[in-house]
Amino acid sequence: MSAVITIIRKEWLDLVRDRRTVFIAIVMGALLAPALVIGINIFAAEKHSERYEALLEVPMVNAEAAPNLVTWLNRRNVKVVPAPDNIEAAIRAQDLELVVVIREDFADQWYAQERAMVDVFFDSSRESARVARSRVAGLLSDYSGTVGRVRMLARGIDPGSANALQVVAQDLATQKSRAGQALAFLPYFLILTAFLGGAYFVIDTTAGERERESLESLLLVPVPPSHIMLGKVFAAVLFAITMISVALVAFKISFEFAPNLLKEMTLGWGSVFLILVVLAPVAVLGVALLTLLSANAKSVKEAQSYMSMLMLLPVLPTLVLMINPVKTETWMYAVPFLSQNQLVMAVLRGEGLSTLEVAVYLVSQITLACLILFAAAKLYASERMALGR
Amino acid sequence: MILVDKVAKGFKAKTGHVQAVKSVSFSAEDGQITGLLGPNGAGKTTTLRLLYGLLRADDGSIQVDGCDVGSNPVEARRRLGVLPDTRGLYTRLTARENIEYFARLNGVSAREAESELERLVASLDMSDFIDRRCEGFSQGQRTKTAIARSVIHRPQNIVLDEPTNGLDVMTTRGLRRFLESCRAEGRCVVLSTHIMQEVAALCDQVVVIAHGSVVAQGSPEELKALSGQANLEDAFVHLIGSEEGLML
Repeated sequence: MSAVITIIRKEWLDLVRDRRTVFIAIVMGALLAPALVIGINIFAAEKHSERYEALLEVPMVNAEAAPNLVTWLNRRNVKVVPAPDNIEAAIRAQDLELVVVIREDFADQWYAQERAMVDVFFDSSRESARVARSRVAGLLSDYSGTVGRVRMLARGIDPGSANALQVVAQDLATQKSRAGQALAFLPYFLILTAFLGGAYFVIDTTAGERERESLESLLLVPVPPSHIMLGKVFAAVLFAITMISVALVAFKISFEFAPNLLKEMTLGWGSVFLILVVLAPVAVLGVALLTLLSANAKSVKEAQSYMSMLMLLPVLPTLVLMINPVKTETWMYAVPFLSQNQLVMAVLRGEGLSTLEVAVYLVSQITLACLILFAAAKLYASERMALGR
Repeated sequence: MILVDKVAKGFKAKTGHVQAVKSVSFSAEDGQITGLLGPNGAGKTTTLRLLYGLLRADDGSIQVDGCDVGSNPVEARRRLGVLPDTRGLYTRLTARENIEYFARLNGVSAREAESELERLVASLDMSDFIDRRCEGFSQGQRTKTAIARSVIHRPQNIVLDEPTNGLDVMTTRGLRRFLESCRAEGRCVVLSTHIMQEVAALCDQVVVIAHGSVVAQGSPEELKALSGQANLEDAFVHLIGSEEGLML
């Protein structure tokens, strides 16, 4: 057993000396993603509310025909500016978000108290013009309503009777659905980090060590090959768990700086720890699988070529469920990736985990990892391991 | 002491079966340096890999100090120090850390390892690079570090695969002095080589291998007498050449 510890210590020393790789692995793999998610969300939220309040410039054709409208808009933080000659071209070229056109006969219709015509030109496929569009549409409709009520009052009619319905939109979806989107993506990100967090380490210490021609000497020490393998596996699992811990802490901290976002999630330190426990078997599973693959691979290149396939693996059960949705049942806690997905979601939603589910989960995942490690240990003891052919 | 008894080893290759070692038998005594001499591709490296248990023999048996390599490889390795054909070091570790790692894996305590390491640093002349990282080591520095890591646990039997490959004259002489001191301590040294001077200068016993079989065995003097040649090189060519002549 002391050989296993010796190997773990040496592999970590070797890894830590490779500063750039460690830095990139930790920063890219664990810090960048949560930072990005939270950053984008904060940015989008700020932009949204800011743009509803900021000064809006509205190009208007024939503005002199509607001086009251212009004054009314000015008071509501809208600045009316002259429009270019070719409206269509300006909107196509994305120079303008929209243009309001007061029709030629606007003034006549206005004084005749008929419905005066106003055109709003825009491109509905442009997402960035959405705020300006809805602001202008809302303001124009407000103005129309206000003037209409004044006219009715002037004729002695209660303006309220003109509106059979007063519809007030109460949008409850935004916060929840955004939290939901993040919820759906978070488990996959965490599972992938756990699954492949130790990948570089494993490939480097097995296929890489063989390629650098130090493996033959290592396999000649009076230690069973399975112990050498276990030392390397433990070292890589520790690294993967370090990466998940860094990612989880990064998530936890980012949530605290984004209080308006993800209110649906409960992510206390207890949940962080629970998720870590749920993800630890995935780290063992990933390291075991990569140990088997890279012990069998002829070169580092071949071992790395499995990576893109392995990245897809955690999505597969979720995809199958999307195509063929079924209610969560106990046996699902034995299916790799599906079970972690369910468990991480349950922890995030603040639901309790039943003992049976956790037991099924832990026993099945650890059994699977042991089976893979057993196959890898057989490979380590084979001639193929030392020679790579 | 190492006993090799009629070992055979074949490999599957794309072109079919390759019999790398047909039948090799020899014994290497304590307090002697035994040389495996043979042309490139004769089966020297495969024979040594069978000897230190990296490959398993299809046939025959090997014993190290009476311990069977096939049935108890871990125990046999405890009695062996091996410089294999591949000499990769951990380039991010210093030479000292490389050697200490192998000391630990061989179950040598830190204190024992330190005193043995000081001895090896002196006898292999490693003092100017022992605490440098192995990145960018010269061939000589790499080989010296690899030899030191393979004998740090003071094994009774030392096996070296072409130890002087790529070394300059000074380093080679230093290595020879080291191997002679191992012999003087009563250890059993086995080395493979295709360099004649090495055999003449070092070996007490020579095993000539060609085409996976032992073609001759004995002291350098006995080989000269056997082939009827005045010098060892002619004796070697004669011994191998006659074999090739038969094959043709």
